[in-house]
Amino acid sequence: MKRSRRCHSASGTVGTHTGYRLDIQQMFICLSQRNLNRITKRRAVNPRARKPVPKWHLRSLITRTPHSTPVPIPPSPLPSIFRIPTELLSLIFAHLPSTESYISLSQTCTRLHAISAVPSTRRSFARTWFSSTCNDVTAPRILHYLACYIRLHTIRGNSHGGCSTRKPWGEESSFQQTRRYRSNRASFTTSLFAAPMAPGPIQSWRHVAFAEWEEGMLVDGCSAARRVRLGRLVARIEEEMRRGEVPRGGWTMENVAGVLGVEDVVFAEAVLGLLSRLMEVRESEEYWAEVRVWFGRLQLVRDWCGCVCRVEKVERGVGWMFGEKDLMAWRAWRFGEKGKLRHWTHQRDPFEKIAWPWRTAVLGVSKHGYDIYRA
Amino acid sequence: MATPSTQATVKLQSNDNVVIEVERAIAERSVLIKNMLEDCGEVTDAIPISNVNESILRKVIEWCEHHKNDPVAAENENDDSRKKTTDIDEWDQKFMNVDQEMLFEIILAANFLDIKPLLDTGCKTVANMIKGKSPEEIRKLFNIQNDFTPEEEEQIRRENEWAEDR
Repeated sequence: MKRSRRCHSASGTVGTHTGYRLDIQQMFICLSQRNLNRITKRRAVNPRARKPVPKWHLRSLITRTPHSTPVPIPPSPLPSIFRIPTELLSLIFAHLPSTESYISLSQTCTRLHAISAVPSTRRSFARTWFSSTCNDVTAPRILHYLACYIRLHTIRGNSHGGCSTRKPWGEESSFQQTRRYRSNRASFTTSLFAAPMAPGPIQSWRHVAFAEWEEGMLVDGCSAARRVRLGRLVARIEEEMRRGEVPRGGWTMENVAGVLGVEDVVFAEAVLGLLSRLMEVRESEEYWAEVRVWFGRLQLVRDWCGCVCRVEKVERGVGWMFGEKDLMAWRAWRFGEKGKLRHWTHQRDPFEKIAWPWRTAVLGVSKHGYDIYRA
Repeated sequence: MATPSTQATVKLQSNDNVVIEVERAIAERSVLIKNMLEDCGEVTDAIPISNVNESILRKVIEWCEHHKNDPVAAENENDDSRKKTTDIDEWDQKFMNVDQEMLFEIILAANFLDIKPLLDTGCKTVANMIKGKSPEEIRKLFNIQNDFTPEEEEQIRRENEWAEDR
Protein backbone atom coordinates (compact mmCIF):
# COMPACT_ATOMS: atom_id res chain seq x y z
CA MET A 1 0.00 0.00 0.00
CA LYS A 2 2.76 2.33 1.04
CA ARG A 3 4.80 1.45 -2.02
CA SER A 4 1.91 1.97 -4.33
CA ARG A 5 1.24 5.46 -2.94
CA ARG A 6 4.86 6.47 -3.32
CA CYS A 7 4.95 5.24 -6.86
CA HIS A 8 1.79 7.11 -7.76
CA SER A 9 2.97 10.39 -6.29
CA ALA A 10 6.35 10.09 -8.00
CA SER A 11 4.78 9.52 -11.40
CA GLY A 12 2.33 12.33 -10.80
CA THR A 13 5.14 14.78 -10.12
CA VAL A 14 6.95 13.73 -13.26
CA GLY A 15 3.79 13.95 -15.30
CA THR A 16 3.11 17.60 -14.46
CA HIS A 17 6.50 18.63 -15.78
CA THR A 18 7.31 16.44 -18.70
CA GLY A 19 4.12 14.92 -19.98
CA TYR A 20 2.22 11.75 -20.18
CA ARG A 21 4.62 9.41 -22.00
CA LEU A 22 7.45 9.93 -19.63
CA ASP A 23 4.97 9.53 -16.85
CA ILE A 24 4.15 6.00 -17.98
CA GLN A 25 7.79 5.12 -18.44
CA GLN A 26 8.77 6.43 -15.02
CA MET A 27 5.98 4.59 -13.42
CA PHE A 28 6.83 1.41 -15.21
CA ILE A 29 10.49 1.61 -14.27
CA CYS A 30 9.40 2.25 -10.70
CA LEU A 31 7.19 -0.83 -10.74
CA SER A 32 9.76 -2.98 -12.47
CA GLN A 33 12.38 -1.96 -9.97
CA ARG A 34 10.04 -2.87 -7.17
CA ASN A 35 9.41 -6.29 -8.71
CA LEU A 36 13.11 -6.76 -9.15
CA ASN A 37 13.77 -5.91 -5.53
CA ARG A 38 11.12 -8.39 -4.55
CA ILE A 39 12.59 -11.07 -6.80
CA THR A 40 16.15 -10.53 -5.63
CA LYS A 41 15.04 -10.47 -1.98
CA ARG A 42 13.15 -13.72 -2.45
CA ARG A 43 16.19 -15.24 -4.07
CA ALA A 44 18.35 -14.08 -1.22
CA VAL A 45 16.19 -15.65 1.50
CA ASN A 46 15.26 -18.75 -0.47
CA PRO A 47 17.75 -21.48 0.24
CA ARG A 48 16.60 -23.39 -2.83
CA ALA A 49 17.72 -20.60 -5.08
CA ARG A 50 20.50 -22.09 -7.21
CA LYS A 51 22.10 -19.01 -8.70
CA PRO A 52 21.67 -15.23 -8.69
CA VAL A 53 19.51 -13.57 -11.33
CA PRO A 54 21.71 -12.74 -14.33
CA LYS A 55 22.10 -9.07 -15.29
CA TRP A 56 20.60 -9.51 -18.74
CA HIS A 57 17.49 -10.90 -17.13
CA LEU A 58 17.16 -7.84 -14.90
CA ARG A 59 17.53 -5.61 -17.92
CA SER A 60 14.90 -7.51 -19.83
CA LEU A 61 12.54 -7.09 -16.91
CA ILE A 62 13.11 -3.36 -16.75
CA THR A 63 12.65 -2.87 -20.46
CA ARG A 64 9.69 -5.16 -20.98
CA THR A 65 6.74 -3.62 -22.73
CA PRO A 66 4.44 -1.40 -20.63
CA HIS A 67 1.21 -3.14 -21.65
CA SER A 68 2.20 -6.16 -19.58
CA THR A 69 1.76 -4.14 -16.38
CA PRO A 70 -1.68 -4.51 -14.80
CA VAL A 71 -1.48 -1.16 -12.97
CA PRO A 72 -3.91 1.45 -14.41
CA ILE A 73 -2.35 4.54 -15.99
CA PRO A 74 -3.09 7.68 -13.94
CA PRO A 75 -4.88 10.45 -15.88
CA SER A 76 -2.71 13.22 -17.29
CA PRO A 77 -3.15 16.45 -15.34
CA LEU A 78 -3.14 18.63 -18.48
CA PRO A 79 -5.62 18.16 -21.36
CA SER A 80 -3.68 16.62 -24.21
CA ILE A 81 -4.59 19.48 -26.56
CA PHE A 82 -2.62 21.91 -24.38
CA ARG A 83 0.52 19.90 -24.66
CA ILE A 84 0.99 21.28 -28.12
CA PRO A 85 2.45 24.79 -28.34
CA THR A 86 0.53 27.96 -29.18
CA GLU A 87 1.76 28.19 -32.77
CA LEU A 88 0.41 24.72 -33.50
CA LEU A 89 -2.93 25.54 -31.85
CA SER A 90 -2.99 28.55 -34.15
CA LEU A 91 -2.42 26.19 -37.09
CA ILE A 92 -5.42 24.10 -35.97
CA PHE A 93 -7.52 27.27 -35.96
CA ALA A 94 -6.29 27.96 -39.50
CA HIS A 95 -7.55 24.58 -40.71
CA LEU A 96 -11.08 24.91 -39.31
CA PRO A 97 -13.67 24.50 -42.04
CA SER A 98 -15.99 27.38 -41.12
CA THR A 99 -16.32 30.53 -39.04
CA GLU A 100 -18.89 28.70 -36.92
CA SER A 101 -16.23 26.19 -35.85
CA TYR A 102 -13.73 29.00 -35.35
CA ILE A 103 -16.04 30.84 -32.98
CA SER A 104 -17.06 27.65 -31.15
CA LEU A 105 -13.43 26.72 -30.48
CA SER A 106 -12.63 30.24 -29.32
CA GLN A 107 -15.47 30.03 -26.78
CA THR A 108 -14.17 26.96 -24.99
CA CYS A 109 -11.59 28.55 -22.65
CA THR A 110 -9.53 31.68 -22.09
CA ARG A 111 -6.37 30.33 -23.68
CA LEU A 112 -8.03 29.33 -26.95
CA HIS A 113 -9.98 32.58 -26.92
CA ALA A 114 -6.73 34.54 -26.65
CA ILE A 115 -5.18 32.57 -29.54
CA SER A 116 -8.26 33.11 -31.70
CA ALA A 117 -8.09 36.88 -31.16
CA VAL A 118 -4.54 37.25 -32.48
CA PRO A 119 -4.64 38.95 -35.93
CA SER A 120 -2.17 36.48 -37.41
CA THR A 121 -4.43 33.54 -36.45
CA ARG A 122 -7.48 35.25 -37.94
CA ARG A 123 -5.62 36.05 -41.15
CA SER A 124 -4.14 32.61 -41.39
CA PHE A 125 -7.63 31.11 -41.04
CA ALA A 126 -8.98 33.38 -43.81
CA ARG A 127 -6.05 32.59 -46.10
CA THR A 128 -6.54 28.86 -45.66
CA TRP A 129 -10.31 29.08 -45.99
CA PHE A 130 -10.20 31.04 -49.23
CA SER A 131 -7.49 28.88 -50.77
CA SER A 132 -9.13 25.60 -49.80
CA THR A 133 -12.78 26.50 -50.34
CA CYS A 134 -12.76 28.95 -53.23
CA ASN A 135 -11.22 26.54 -55.72
CA ASP A 136 -14.02 26.46 -58.31
CA VAL A 137 -14.97 23.02 -56.98
CA THR A 138 -16.47 23.78 -53.58
CA ALA A 139 -17.07 27.47 -54.19
CA PRO A 140 -16.26 29.95 -56.94
CA ARG A 141 -12.72 31.24 -56.86
CA ILE A 142 -13.94 34.72 -57.53
CA LEU A 143 -15.29 34.94 -53.98
CA HIS A 144 -11.75 35.64 -52.85
CA TYR A 145 -11.48 38.41 -55.35
CA LEU A 146 -14.84 39.77 -54.21
CA ALA A 147 -13.75 39.76 -50.55
CA CYS A 148 -10.56 41.64 -51.42
CA TYR A 149 -12.49 44.07 -53.48
CA ILE A 150 -15.06 44.79 -50.83
CA ARG A 151 -12.41 45.25 -48.17
CA LEU A 152 -10.54 47.61 -50.42
CA HIS A 153 -13.66 49.62 -51.08
CA THR A 154 -14.84 49.97 -47.51
CA ILE A 155 -12.29 52.73 -47.14
CA ARG A 156 -13.30 55.87 -48.88
CA GLY A 157 -11.21 58.30 -50.85
CA ASN A 158 -7.48 58.54 -50.98
CA SER A 159 -6.80 59.55 -47.41
CA HIS A 160 -6.62 55.88 -46.51
CA GLY A 161 -4.97 54.88 -49.71
CA GLY A 162 -8.25 53.52 -51.00
CA CYS A 163 -9.82 53.42 -54.37
CA SER A 164 -10.69 56.66 -56.10
CA THR A 165 -13.36 55.84 -58.60
CA ARG A 166 -14.39 58.25 -61.32
CA LYS A 167 -17.75 58.32 -59.65
CA PRO A 168 -17.11 59.67 -56.17
CA TRP A 169 -18.58 58.15 -53.09
CA GLY A 170 -21.86 59.65 -52.00
CA GLU A 171 -23.66 59.49 -48.74
CA GLU A 172 -26.29 57.28 -50.28
CA SER A 173 -23.76 54.72 -51.30
CA SER A 174 -23.70 53.21 -47.87
CA PHE A 175 -25.01 49.70 -47.48
CA GLN A 176 -28.20 50.69 -45.68
CA GLN A 177 -29.30 52.96 -48.49
CA THR A 178 -28.99 50.59 -51.38
CA ARG A 179 -32.56 49.41 -51.44
CA ARG A 180 -33.66 52.22 -53.67
CA TYR A 181 -31.72 50.62 -56.49
CA ARG A 182 -33.58 47.38 -56.18
CA SER A 183 -34.90 46.30 -59.49
CA ASN A 184 -38.55 45.34 -59.80
CA ARG A 185 -37.70 42.20 -61.63
CA ALA A 186 -38.42 39.00 -59.85
CA SER A 187 -35.60 37.08 -61.45
CA PHE A 188 -32.36 37.21 -59.58
CA THR A 189 -30.34 36.56 -62.71
CA THR A 190 -31.72 39.08 -65.12
CA SER A 191 -32.09 41.81 -62.56
CA LEU A 192 -28.40 41.60 -61.84
CA PHE A 193 -27.86 42.72 -65.32
CA ALA A 194 -30.62 45.29 -65.34
CA ALA A 195 -29.84 47.04 -62.09
CA PRO A 196 -26.89 49.07 -63.31
CA MET A 197 -29.17 50.39 -66.01
CA ALA A 198 -32.00 51.25 -63.68
CA PRO A 199 -32.88 54.93 -63.37
CA GLY A 200 -31.09 56.86 -60.68
CA PRO A 201 -27.49 57.77 -59.98
CA ILE A 202 -24.97 54.99 -59.66
CA GLN A 203 -22.32 55.84 -57.19
CA SER A 204 -19.85 53.05 -57.27
CA TRP A 205 -19.18 49.45 -57.95
CA ARG A 206 -19.62 48.67 -54.30
CA HIS A 207 -22.97 50.37 -54.33
CA VAL A 208 -24.30 48.23 -57.13
CA ALA A 209 -22.80 45.08 -55.71
CA PHE A 210 -24.51 45.64 -52.39
CA ALA A 211 -27.77 46.56 -54.06
CA GLU A 212 -27.72 43.29 -55.96
CA TRP A 213 -26.84 41.38 -52.89
CA GLU A 214 -29.61 42.93 -50.95
CA GLU A 215 -32.06 42.14 -53.68
CA GLY A 216 -30.93 38.56 -53.61
CA MET A 217 -31.55 38.53 -49.89
CA LEU A 218 -35.06 39.85 -50.41
CA VAL A 219 -35.79 37.16 -52.98
CA ASP A 220 -34.45 34.68 -50.49
CA GLY A 221 -36.78 35.99 -47.80
CA CYS A 222 -33.88 37.36 -45.81
CA SER A 223 -35.10 38.99 -42.64
CA ALA A 224 -34.60 42.68 -41.87
CA ALA A 225 -32.58 41.67 -38.83
CA ARG A 226 -30.19 39.68 -40.99
CA ARG A 227 -29.77 42.59 -43.36
CA VAL A 228 -28.93 44.84 -40.42
CA ARG A 229 -26.36 42.29 -39.26
CA LEU A 230 -24.78 42.18 -42.68
CA GLY A 231 -24.67 45.96 -42.69
CA ARG A 232 -22.84 45.79 -39.36
CA LEU A 233 -20.46 43.27 -40.80
CA VAL A 234 -19.43 45.63 -43.58
CA ALA A 235 -19.12 48.42 -41.00
CA ARG A 236 -16.86 46.15 -38.95
CA ILE A 237 -14.59 45.52 -41.92
CA GLU A 238 -14.54 49.24 -42.60
CA GLU A 239 -13.61 50.00 -39.00
CA GLU A 240 -10.82 47.46 -39.07
CA MET A 241 -9.42 48.97 -42.24
CA ARG A 242 -9.48 52.43 -40.69
CA ARG A 243 -7.64 51.23 -37.60
CA GLY A 244 -4.97 49.38 -39.52
CA GLU A 245 -1.77 50.88 -40.76
CA VAL A 246 -1.79 51.85 -44.43
CA PRO A 247 1.05 50.16 -46.29
CA ARG A 248 3.49 52.24 -48.26
CA GLY A 249 1.96 53.09 -51.59
CA GLY A 250 -1.58 52.59 -50.25
CA TRP A 251 -3.87 49.62 -50.31
CA THR A 252 -4.04 47.59 -53.49
CA MET A 253 -5.81 44.40 -54.47
CA GLU A 254 -2.56 42.52 -53.93
CA ASN A 255 -1.74 43.68 -50.42
CA VAL A 256 -5.32 43.77 -49.17
CA ALA A 257 -5.50 39.98 -49.68
CA GLY A 258 -3.00 39.64 -46.87
CA VAL A 259 -5.29 41.28 -44.30
CA LEU A 260 -8.46 39.31 -44.99
CA GLY A 261 -9.80 37.97 -41.72
CA VAL A 262 -12.64 36.08 -40.12
CA GLU A 263 -15.07 38.86 -41.10
CA ASP A 264 -14.33 38.38 -44.78
CA VAL A 265 -14.96 34.66 -44.48
CA VAL A 266 -18.32 35.41 -42.84
CA PHE A 267 -19.05 37.70 -45.76
CA ALA A 268 -18.09 35.03 -48.30
CA GLU A 269 -20.09 32.39 -46.44
CA ALA A 270 -23.10 34.68 -46.52
CA VAL A 271 -22.79 35.09 -50.30
CA LEU A 272 -22.33 31.35 -50.71
CA GLY A 273 -25.32 30.62 -48.51
CA LEU A 274 -27.39 33.01 -50.54
CA LEU A 275 -26.38 31.37 -53.78
CA SER A 276 -27.03 27.89 -52.41
CA ARG A 277 -30.49 28.80 -51.23
CA LEU A 278 -31.34 30.32 -54.57
CA MET A 279 -30.18 27.36 -56.56
CA GLU A 280 -32.07 24.16 -56.02
CA VAL A 281 -29.46 21.83 -57.42
CA ARG A 282 -26.14 23.07 -56.27
CA GLU A 283 -23.91 20.65 -58.07
CA SER A 284 -25.40 21.22 -61.49
CA GLU A 285 -23.72 22.94 -64.37
CA GLU A 286 -26.53 25.43 -64.25
CA TYR A 287 -25.50 26.48 -60.76
CA TRP A 288 -22.01 27.27 -61.92
CA ALA A 289 -23.30 29.08 -64.96
CA GLU A 290 -25.44 31.26 -62.71
CA VAL A 291 -22.56 31.89 -60.34
CA ARG A 292 -20.36 32.95 -63.22
CA VAL A 293 -23.03 35.27 -64.47
CA TRP A 294 -23.51 36.86 -61.11
CA PHE A 295 -19.87 37.54 -60.45
CA GLY A 296 -19.21 38.32 -64.05
CA ARG A 297 -21.73 41.10 -63.86
CA LEU A 298 -20.03 42.49 -60.79
CA GLN A 299 -16.81 42.55 -62.74
CA LEU A 300 -18.53 44.32 -65.57
CA VAL A 301 -19.98 46.96 -63.31
CA ARG A 302 -16.64 47.44 -61.66
CA ASP A 303 -15.02 48.23 -64.97
CA TRP A 304 -17.96 50.27 -65.99
CA CYS A 305 -17.99 52.48 -62.94
CA GLY A 306 -14.42 53.36 -63.63
CA CYS A 307 -12.78 51.89 -60.59
CA VAL A 308 -9.06 52.44 -60.73
CA CYS A 309 -8.21 49.30 -58.80
CA ARG A 310 -7.68 47.26 -61.89
CA VAL A 311 -5.75 44.10 -61.56
CA GLU A 312 -4.59 42.60 -64.80
CA LYS A 313 -3.20 39.47 -63.18
CA VAL A 314 -6.57 38.10 -62.12
CA GLU A 315 -7.26 34.82 -63.83
CA ARG A 316 -9.83 35.92 -66.29
CA GLY A 317 -11.97 33.37 -68.02
CA VAL A 318 -11.78 30.83 -65.21
CA GLY A 319 -14.42 32.04 -62.85
CA TRP A 320 -16.25 34.70 -64.76
CA MET A 321 -16.22 33.79 -68.37
CA PHE A 322 -19.60 35.34 -68.74
CA GLY A 323 -18.81 38.72 -67.32
CA GLU A 324 -15.90 38.89 -69.65
CA LYS A 325 -18.23 38.36 -72.58
CA ASP A 326 -20.53 41.03 -71.30
CA LEU A 327 -17.66 43.38 -71.04
CA MET A 328 -16.58 42.59 -74.56
CA ALA A 329 -20.11 43.23 -75.71
CA TRP A 330 -20.07 46.57 -74.05
CA ARG A 331 -16.73 47.44 -75.58
CA ALA A 332 -18.04 46.33 -78.94
CA TRP A 333 -20.85 48.78 -78.59
CA ARG A 334 -18.63 51.52 -77.25
CA PHE A 335 -15.98 51.22 -79.92
CA GLY A 336 -18.36 50.41 -82.70
CA GLU A 337 -17.18 46.85 -83.19
CA LYS A 338 -20.68 45.57 -83.79
CA GLY A 339 -19.51 42.78 -86.03
CA LYS A 340 -17.78 41.22 -83.07
CA LEU A 341 -20.86 41.49 -80.94
CA ARG A 342 -22.87 39.62 -83.57
CA HIS A 343 -20.17 37.03 -83.75
CA TRP A 344 -20.42 36.32 -80.03
CA THR A 345 -24.15 36.15 -80.01
CA HIS A 346 -24.03 33.46 -82.68
CA GLN A 347 -21.82 31.35 -80.49
CA ARG A 348 -23.97 31.32 -77.42
CA ASP A 349 -24.01 28.29 -75.24
CA PRO A 350 -27.29 26.84 -73.87
CA PHE A 351 -27.00 28.67 -70.58
CA GLU A 352 -26.27 31.90 -72.29
CA LYS A 353 -29.83 32.02 -73.60
CA ILE A 354 -31.12 32.16 -70.08
CA ALA A 355 -28.52 34.37 -68.60
CA TRP A 356 -27.67 36.65 -71.46
CA PRO A 357 -30.69 37.37 -73.61
CA TRP A 358 -30.77 40.15 -76.18
CA ARG A 359 -31.24 42.57 -73.37
CA THR A 360 -27.49 42.89 -73.53
CA ALA A 361 -28.01 45.41 -76.23
CA VAL A 362 -29.74 47.58 -73.68
CA LEU A 363 -26.35 48.08 -72.22
CA GLY A 364 -25.53 50.29 -75.11
CA VAL A 365 -28.92 51.70 -75.86
CA SER A 366 -29.69 53.11 -72.46
CA LYS A 367 -29.07 56.78 -72.41
CA HIS A 368 -28.26 56.69 -68.77
CA GLY A 369 -25.68 54.00 -69.25
CA TYR A 370 -24.12 56.02 -71.96
CA ASP A 371 -23.95 59.04 -69.69
CA ILE A 372 -22.27 57.07 -67.03
CA TYR A 373 -19.69 55.90 -69.43
CA ARG A 374 -19.13 59.37 -70.82
CA ALA A 375 -18.56 60.67 -67.31
CA MET B 1 34.15 5.36 -50.27
CA ALA B 2 30.46 5.98 -50.22
CA THR B 3 29.32 9.50 -50.97
CA PRO B 4 26.40 10.97 -49.04
CA SER B 5 24.10 10.52 -52.01
CA THR B 6 24.79 6.80 -52.21
CA GLN B 7 24.16 6.11 -48.55
CA ALA B 8 21.10 3.88 -48.72
CA THR B 9 19.91 3.89 -45.12
CA VAL B 10 20.13 6.01 -42.01
CA LYS B 11 19.63 5.12 -38.37
CA LEU B 12 17.27 7.08 -36.20
CA GLN B 13 17.34 6.86 -32.43
CA SER B 14 14.21 7.60 -30.45
CA ASN B 15 14.28 9.23 -27.04
CA ASP B 16 13.84 5.81 -25.44
CA ASN B 17 17.08 4.71 -27.14
CA VAL B 18 15.58 2.46 -29.79
CA VAL B 19 17.47 2.58 -33.07
CA ILE B 20 15.43 2.21 -36.25
CA GLU B 21 17.07 1.87 -39.63
CA VAL B 22 15.20 3.44 -42.54
CA GLU B 23 15.79 4.19 -46.18
CA ARG B 24 17.46 7.54 -46.63
CA ALA B 25 14.78 8.67 -49.10
CA ILE B 26 12.10 7.96 -46.50
CA ALA B 27 13.96 9.73 -43.72
CA GLU B 28 14.45 12.72 -45.98
CA ARG B 29 10.73 13.44 -45.94
CA SER B 30 11.74 15.19 -42.76
CA VAL B 31 13.31 18.53 -43.65
CA LEU B 32 15.21 18.45 -40.36
CA ILE B 33 16.90 15.14 -41.20
CA LYS B 34 17.40 16.11 -44.82
CA ASN B 35 19.22 19.28 -43.86
CA MET B 36 21.22 17.43 -41.25
CA LEU B 37 22.35 14.82 -43.79
CA GLU B 38 23.21 17.49 -46.31
CA ASP B 39 25.28 19.36 -43.76
CA CYS B 40 27.05 16.38 -42.25
CA GLY B 41 27.55 14.21 -45.32
CA GLU B 42 27.67 10.53 -44.49
CA VAL B 43 26.31 9.70 -41.05
CA THR B 44 27.06 6.25 -39.72
CA ASP B 45 25.90 6.80 -36.14
CA ALA B 46 22.26 6.82 -35.21
CA ILE B 47 20.66 10.28 -35.41
CA PRO B 48 19.09 11.07 -32.04
CA ILE B 49 15.47 12.20 -32.36
CA SER B 50 15.30 13.50 -28.84
CA ASN B 51 11.67 14.60 -28.72
CA VAL B 52 10.07 11.48 -30.17
CA ASN B 53 9.60 8.07 -28.62
CA GLU B 54 9.76 4.75 -30.43
CA SER B 55 6.07 4.15 -31.09
CA ILE B 56 5.56 7.65 -32.50
CA LEU B 57 8.77 7.47 -34.52
CA ARG B 58 7.63 4.19 -36.07
CA LYS B 59 4.26 5.77 -36.84
CA VAL B 60 5.91 8.77 -38.49
CA ILE B 61 8.19 6.48 -40.50
CA GLU B 62 5.12 4.53 -41.63
CA TRP B 63 3.62 7.78 -42.94
CA CYS B 64 6.88 8.74 -44.64
CA GLU B 65 7.09 5.32 -46.30
CA HIS B 66 3.61 5.66 -47.73
CA HIS B 67 4.28 9.18 -48.94
CA LYS B 68 7.86 8.71 -50.09
CA ASN B 69 6.96 9.24 -53.74
CA ASP B 70 4.87 12.35 -53.17
CA PRO B 71 6.28 15.44 -54.85
CA VAL B 72 8.26 17.49 -52.37
CA ALA B 73 7.09 21.11 -52.13
CA ALA B 74 9.49 23.59 -53.64
CA GLU B 75 11.28 25.77 -51.14
CA ASN B 76 9.99 29.01 -52.55
CA GLU B 77 6.42 27.76 -52.62
CA ASN B 78 4.10 29.87 -50.52
CA ASP B 79 2.03 28.53 -47.66
CA ASP B 80 -1.23 28.48 -49.57
CA SER B 81 -0.14 25.94 -52.14
CA ARG B 82 -0.11 23.11 -49.62
CA LYS B 83 -3.58 23.90 -48.38
CA LYS B 84 -5.55 23.45 -51.54
CA THR B 85 -8.23 21.36 -49.96
CA THR B 86 -9.60 20.43 -46.56
CA ASP B 87 -10.13 16.83 -47.64
CA ILE B 88 -7.82 14.23 -46.16
CA ASP B 89 -6.61 11.31 -48.24
CA GLU B 90 -8.34 8.03 -47.33
CA TRP B 91 -5.10 6.35 -46.28
CA ASP B 92 -4.20 9.34 -44.12
CA GLN B 93 -7.64 9.25 -42.50
CA LYS B 94 -7.05 5.65 -41.45
CA PHE B 95 -3.52 6.49 -40.38
CA MET B 96 -4.81 9.30 -38.19
CA ASN B 97 -7.52 7.14 -36.68
CA VAL B 98 -5.69 6.91 -33.35
CA ASP B 99 -6.40 8.11 -29.84
CA GLN B 100 -5.99 11.80 -29.01
CA GLU B 101 -2.74 11.27 -27.13
CA MET B 102 -1.10 9.74 -30.15
CA LEU B 103 -2.62 12.25 -32.56
CA PHE B 104 -1.10 15.16 -30.66
CA GLU B 105 2.18 13.28 -30.34
CA ILE B 106 2.23 12.84 -34.13
CA ILE B 107 1.56 16.55 -34.60
CA LEU B 108 4.41 17.41 -32.22
CA ALA B 109 6.75 14.96 -33.93
CA ALA B 110 5.83 16.29 -37.39
CA ASN B 111 6.52 19.80 -36.16
CA PHE B 112 9.85 18.79 -34.61
CA LEU B 113 10.96 16.80 -37.66
CA ASP B 114 9.63 19.51 -39.99
CA ILE B 115 7.32 17.32 -42.10
CA LYS B 116 4.80 19.93 -43.25
CA PRO B 117 2.33 17.67 -45.07
CA LEU B 118 2.06 15.41 -42.02
CA LEU B 119 1.67 18.43 -39.75
CA ASP B 120 -1.10 19.76 -41.97
CA THR B 121 -2.83 16.39 -42.05
CA GLY B 122 -2.69 16.22 -38.26
CA CYS B 123 -4.08 19.73 -37.83
CA LYS B 124 -6.80 19.04 -40.39
CA THR B 125 -7.75 15.90 -38.48
CA VAL B 126 -8.12 17.87 -35.26
CA ALA B 127 -10.05 20.58 -37.14
CA ASN B 128 -12.42 17.95 -38.52
CA MET B 129 -13.00 16.62 -35.01
CA ILE B 130 -14.11 20.14 -33.99
CA LYS B 131 -16.32 20.64 -37.04
CA GLY B 132 -20.00 21.15 -36.23
CA LYS B 133 -19.54 20.96 -32.45
CA SER B 134 -20.70 23.44 -29.84
CA PRO B 135 -18.19 24.92 -27.34
CA GLU B 136 -19.47 22.53 -24.67
CA GLU B 137 -19.04 19.51 -26.94
CA ILE B 138 -15.49 20.61 -27.78
CA ARG B 139 -14.70 20.94 -24.08
CA LYS B 140 -15.91 17.40 -23.50
CA LEU B 141 -13.98 16.10 -26.50
CA PHE B 142 -10.63 17.51 -25.40
CA ASN B 143 -11.23 17.54 -21.65
CA ILE B 144 -10.93 21.34 -21.55
CA GLN B 145 -12.04 23.13 -18.42
CA ASN B 146 -14.29 26.15 -18.87
CA ASP B 147 -12.36 28.88 -17.07
CA PHE B 148 -14.53 31.83 -18.14
CA THR B 149 -16.43 33.74 -15.51
CA PRO B 150 -20.16 34.15 -16.29
CA GLU B 151 -19.49 37.84 -17.08
CA GLU B 152 -16.73 36.93 -19.51
CA GLU B 153 -18.95 34.35 -21.16
CA GLU B 154 -21.66 36.92 -21.66
CA GLN B 155 -19.16 39.40 -23.06
CA ILE B 156 -17.81 36.84 -25.54
CA ARG B 157 -21.31 35.94 -26.61
CA ARG B 158 -21.99 39.60 -27.35
CA GLU B 159 -18.63 39.92 -29.13
CA ASN B 160 -19.65 37.25 -31.60
CA GLU B 161 -23.17 38.40 -32.26
CA TRP B 162 -22.18 39.98 -35.55
CA ALA B 163 -21.33 36.60 -37.01
CA GLU B 164 -24.50 34.78 -35.98
CA ASP B 165 -27.53 33.94 -38.08
CA ARG B 166 -26.03 34.37 -41.48
